[in-house]
Amino acid sequence: MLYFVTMNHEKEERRRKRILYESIRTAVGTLLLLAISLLTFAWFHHARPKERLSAGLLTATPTPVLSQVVSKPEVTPTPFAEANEPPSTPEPTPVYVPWIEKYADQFTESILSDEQGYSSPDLAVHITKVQYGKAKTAMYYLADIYLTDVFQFETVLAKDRFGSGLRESVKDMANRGGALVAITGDTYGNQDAGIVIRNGIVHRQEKSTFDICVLYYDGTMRTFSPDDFSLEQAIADGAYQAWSFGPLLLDEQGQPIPDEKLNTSKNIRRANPRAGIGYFEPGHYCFVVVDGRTDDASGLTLEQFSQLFADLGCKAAYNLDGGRSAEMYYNGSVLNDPYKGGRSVSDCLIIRETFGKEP
Amino acid sequence: MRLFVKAIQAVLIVLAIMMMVFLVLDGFNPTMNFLRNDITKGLLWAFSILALADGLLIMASVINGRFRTGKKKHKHAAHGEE
Repeated sequence: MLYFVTMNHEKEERRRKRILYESIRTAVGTLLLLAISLLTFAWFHHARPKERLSAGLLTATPTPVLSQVVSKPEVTPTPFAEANEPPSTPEPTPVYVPWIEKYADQFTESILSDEQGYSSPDLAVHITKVQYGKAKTAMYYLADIYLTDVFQFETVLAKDRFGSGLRESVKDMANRGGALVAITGDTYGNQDAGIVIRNGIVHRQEKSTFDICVLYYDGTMRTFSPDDFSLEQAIADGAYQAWSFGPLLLDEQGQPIPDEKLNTSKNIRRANPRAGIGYFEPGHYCFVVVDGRTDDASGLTLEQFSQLFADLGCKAAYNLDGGRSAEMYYNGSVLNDPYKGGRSVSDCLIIRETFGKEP
Repeated sequence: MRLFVKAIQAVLIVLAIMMMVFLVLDGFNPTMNFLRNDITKGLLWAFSILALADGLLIMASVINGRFRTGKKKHKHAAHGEE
């Protein structure tokens, strides 16, 4: 009897072991299959370098308007009979002031360059490092930029090709493009849709759900929600560059946008390292990069970033790829301290010196 | 057949976890477009079809089991057992 009980017990033990072994084998197999599936997905989704067919449309005849419109009211003599009538607002007559005259006080006769900035007869960049955060060791970097020609503002694509999975560091792209200042772009290569116009060429025509920022040949910059944007109109208006990332950070009056109205997800709105572009007036722009995700400072929320551009006095501002991608390059080196050393991205915005160089 | 069902279930578990991973990643980084791309759409189709197949197989086995139990009961009743 005892023999049978022992046999049954052993049998039960063996059965349990078999079940345990089978369960572990199944779990390991499933996990392995999951890992292989995720890696395969990542490869085909975003890691595999793949050139894409660019729409290749030219936005306009690239004839930049190197000027700033200034409204000067025309004073006309009032006839005696109409003297008692309320004065009508005179129609402003546009007077074109070349950027080189408008920002003449920013430029210098020869090239001057140091850590605080750069100036030449046709380009000026002022670099400001601002401390923020609890321990006052975290920085954000502001590049205040004055141009004389819109073609000094360019974009560089990774590997000089339009596609997905094509990546390069901001520094390498900036060096290749001959940049004085550069900042991370909109990482268009991670998206299947979203308007992409680079240096006057429309590469992608499909809108995404993201806000759009357009820089025109006349130097103006405007930001749009996807519902308000028309590619045909942008082309007709002479779009020179267009980015699809965002969100837009200032409203039409240049006021900051409250957190809940920013067109992006909650996770993106949280404190993070940031990169963004601000627009003051044609020929005058700024790049801002904020460090974060460190013990001293977590970065800025999008609402704070929006407020920062409003405080700077920008009329329009737009958020670019942040997080680990947020990088600013100036005069041969990366200025900020990117999270985990930064990462390679699919594009960047550059400011280029043209003085003494062939067009 | 058992191996086939087992394989379907393993693939279903993998696909379900993948979808959850994409949902979480999309929350953190919507610009990467983890959810609305063609590959994810294809995977979602596969997930739906396999889930349907698995559901039908389970349903069939349950119905089959019920009939078998019914047959047994019927047999036992014929032999005068309760």
